[in-house]
Amino acid sequence: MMDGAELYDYFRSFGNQGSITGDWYTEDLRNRNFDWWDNASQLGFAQDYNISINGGTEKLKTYISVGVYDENGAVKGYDYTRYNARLKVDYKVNNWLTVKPQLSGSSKNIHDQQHSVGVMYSNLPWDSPYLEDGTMVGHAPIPSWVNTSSSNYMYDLQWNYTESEAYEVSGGFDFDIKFTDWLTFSSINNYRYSTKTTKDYVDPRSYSGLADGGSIKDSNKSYNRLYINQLLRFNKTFGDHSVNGIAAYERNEYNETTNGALTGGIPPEFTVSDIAAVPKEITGSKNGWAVQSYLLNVNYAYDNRYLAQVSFRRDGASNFGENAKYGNFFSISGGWNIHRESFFTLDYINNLKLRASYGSVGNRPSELYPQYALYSLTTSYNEHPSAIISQLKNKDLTWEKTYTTGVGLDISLFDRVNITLDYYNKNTSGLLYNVPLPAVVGVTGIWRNVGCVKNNGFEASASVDVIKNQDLQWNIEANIGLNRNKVTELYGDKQEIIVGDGSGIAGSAEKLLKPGLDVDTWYLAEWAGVDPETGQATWYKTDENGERVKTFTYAEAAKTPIAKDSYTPKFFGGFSTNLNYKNFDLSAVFGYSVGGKIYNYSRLEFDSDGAYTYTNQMKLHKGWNRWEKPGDIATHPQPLYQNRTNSNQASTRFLENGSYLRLRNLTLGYNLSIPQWHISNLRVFASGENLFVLSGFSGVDPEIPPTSSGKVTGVASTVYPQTRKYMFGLNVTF
Amino acid sequence: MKKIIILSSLIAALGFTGCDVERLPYDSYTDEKINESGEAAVDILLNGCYGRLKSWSEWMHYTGEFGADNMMKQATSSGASFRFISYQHTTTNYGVGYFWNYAYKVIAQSSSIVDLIEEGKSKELDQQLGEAYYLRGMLYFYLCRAFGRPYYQSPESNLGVPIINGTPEDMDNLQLLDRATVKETYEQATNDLKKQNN
Repeated sequence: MMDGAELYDYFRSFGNQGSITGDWYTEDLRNRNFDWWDNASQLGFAQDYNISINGGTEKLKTYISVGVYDENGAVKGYDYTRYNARLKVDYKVNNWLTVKPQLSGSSKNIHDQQHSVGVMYSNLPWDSPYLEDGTMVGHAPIPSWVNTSSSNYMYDLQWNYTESEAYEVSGGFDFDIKFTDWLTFSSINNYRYSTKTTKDYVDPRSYSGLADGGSIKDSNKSYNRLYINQLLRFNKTFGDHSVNGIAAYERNEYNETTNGALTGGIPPEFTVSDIAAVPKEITGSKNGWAVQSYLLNVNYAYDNRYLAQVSFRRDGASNFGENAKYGNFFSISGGWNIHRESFFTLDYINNLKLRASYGSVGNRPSELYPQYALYSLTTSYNEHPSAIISQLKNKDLTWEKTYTTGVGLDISLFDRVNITLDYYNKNTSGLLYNVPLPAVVGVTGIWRNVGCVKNNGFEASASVDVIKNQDLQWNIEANIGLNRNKVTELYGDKQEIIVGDGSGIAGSAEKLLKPGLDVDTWYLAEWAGVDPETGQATWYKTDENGERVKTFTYAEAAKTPIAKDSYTPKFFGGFSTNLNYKNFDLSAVFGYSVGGKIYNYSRLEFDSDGAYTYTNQMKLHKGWNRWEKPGDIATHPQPLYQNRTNSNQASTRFLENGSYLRLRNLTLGYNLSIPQWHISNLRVFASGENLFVLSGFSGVDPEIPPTSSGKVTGVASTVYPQTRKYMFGLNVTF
Repeated sequence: MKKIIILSSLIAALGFTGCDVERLPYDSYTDEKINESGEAAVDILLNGCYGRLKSWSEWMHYTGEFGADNMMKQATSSGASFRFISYQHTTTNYGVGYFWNYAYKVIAQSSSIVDLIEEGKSKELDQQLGEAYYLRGMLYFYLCRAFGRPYYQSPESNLGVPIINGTPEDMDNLQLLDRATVKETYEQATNDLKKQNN
């Protein structure tokens, strides 16, 4: 982001200086420079301690572990503490019964008074949270600020916070009954209960507490989860034939309840609802799902040369229609250990195995109740209960199925080189999709199984032991993956579907689903660059003759967008190396991705050509330049104060190459044993994470984290900065 | 023998537990529940129409007023209201979407209320039936004003909005009517409003 002087120079470059009114606009701005980023960030600090004890006799084995973790974030004001403990016992009661009780628990505490991540990017460097005498400024409009529409978030942060405590306890009682030496019954039974209370405290002195006289919001969320799996296992060998398999019943259940209360009118620093003057809002909800499966799996091997496997499973889930709750899935696979054949005589090949498989798996929708006709009761009308149509029924909604064919080859050579090659072809059909409907029917979508997507890909990995000595070992590993996906079928007579980019941000990009295209294909107004004569932004539109022609009007270009590029990389992977010399070890892990295109939404605000005058702006990235005079060939148009040319609106202009190379981890360690202190191994290590990234991306990080709902979007918006981590550790084994 | 007894009792236990994977939402009526409740649900469904009308009216006003001189919006934004004020009437403007979608949601639900109530059964139900007709007629009127030409300009040929009174039964083979003319839309509106008066 820009500093005070850079931002002033940028303002000076606006083509319409006359439109900038106000006595704040003086040369003095060059000297006003508050670093909001520096103000909100710190050197984070994390500590992690674990002790585990492992031991026992033939009849009774125990495992005990306890741990503490504490972290202060790299953005100030966030403290996380976790305690966890675990006890596992493996008790052989007699020759046919083994019981395995276990118990674990954890607590997590978060005190969140964190500085605003968004403001680190957006606040103007001309605006300081303090007056010259050191007093803190507060609510908009702040007389000393250029940005009159924004408040100082630090003012409320003096008092307001969110605090949460979460406890989780999980108990299990597993046991094995051995009928004969080839038949065993195993029972896995696990129950987990978790509860989390959250308190949002808003002080009556803070601006957000003014209207209500301060407020307290207590919310509680608890859930329980049941998992049981009852298996019959058999394992038999006769001659060169060996067979093993399982027959099982599995069940998974989840139930969740939440409740909350918001009260207002409190004296400063009192934090219980009892003392609040005004009850404001009560909430409560309950949700659940259940899945059960019956499954069979059999493995067969002949002389360890020929391997075969078949499996079948029948899964039923609560989120499907009454006609189609259950889905049937299967898999078959085979393997051939060629190096074990008598005709195979190449002795420099240690291992050569050919694998092939074909099978299906199912996928459930993210919605809990997508199959019912529903009238939502969650919004009331003037304090009366009310229901409004929210969903249509689909009795036939069923599992999304993916059929995968795969072949692979494993090779080991010279006792040094391992190579694995895999090719796969995945066909997913009956995708779970909320199919858009014309709103005239009362709702805007219905959950259906529609369309097909095809993925095929190739993965290769190789590992080489370059040096194998007593004192010195050096190993190098590398892997690469290529994946091509495309939509093969939509539904009905649909030729294409325009969908949001998944970021949930208004004014962000769109994507196009169309047979033959990648599922993550961007669909945007096409940027045509900066007009060298006028310095204005131009786009392409489709004219009456169906030809692409330049236009100065964004709205016209937005009516005829194009499908261009996608977030899917051409190939990706990693490589790593390990070096051991005597007691020292050094390892480095790299990751890379090539060819994916990111939509950098942040530039709509931070590279806005003057449209956003109350937001700090990005410095021009390497390779960018701005139009200044007729004849300039530039990437950026002439900026205008409160620019209304829409040059910053969603278009292919903000698609950027997302390729990167990253050093994920570098570790240096030293091992020794001190027998006189009964220490069998002592390891000291130092490691660094995320030490460097090579990338042409202008945003914060080309590895876009998934959204809070887990969606991978390829859209870059204001994110918590990627942190570089250094770790120092000590492992002691007695 | 003992083991076999344990095993068979376990398998029997499985047989009992291994059946139910049905879950219903706690915060919504299902259509079955509404049909069971019958007239008791009418009041709640009608409230639902009014509740949605509140959020609809916000965007109904924005759609017209931002383009006129009665409202102003400071600075730029990527939101829908900025599109109105800068005359960027793009197809993806969610503000227009709310105007259209919520209006038809209330039309669909008031139509099902009309179907649910038998006329002349009781004074109270007739009142509710009248309210449902009124809501539907009013929304066709507002929709036609926003998306069609004024009535005095050849209403027989200019297009109004589609007349879809209720959610169609068969969603698999959905056939929807095209836009009706301005005249037909006004007839639908006035008929509903007159019906309400009876």
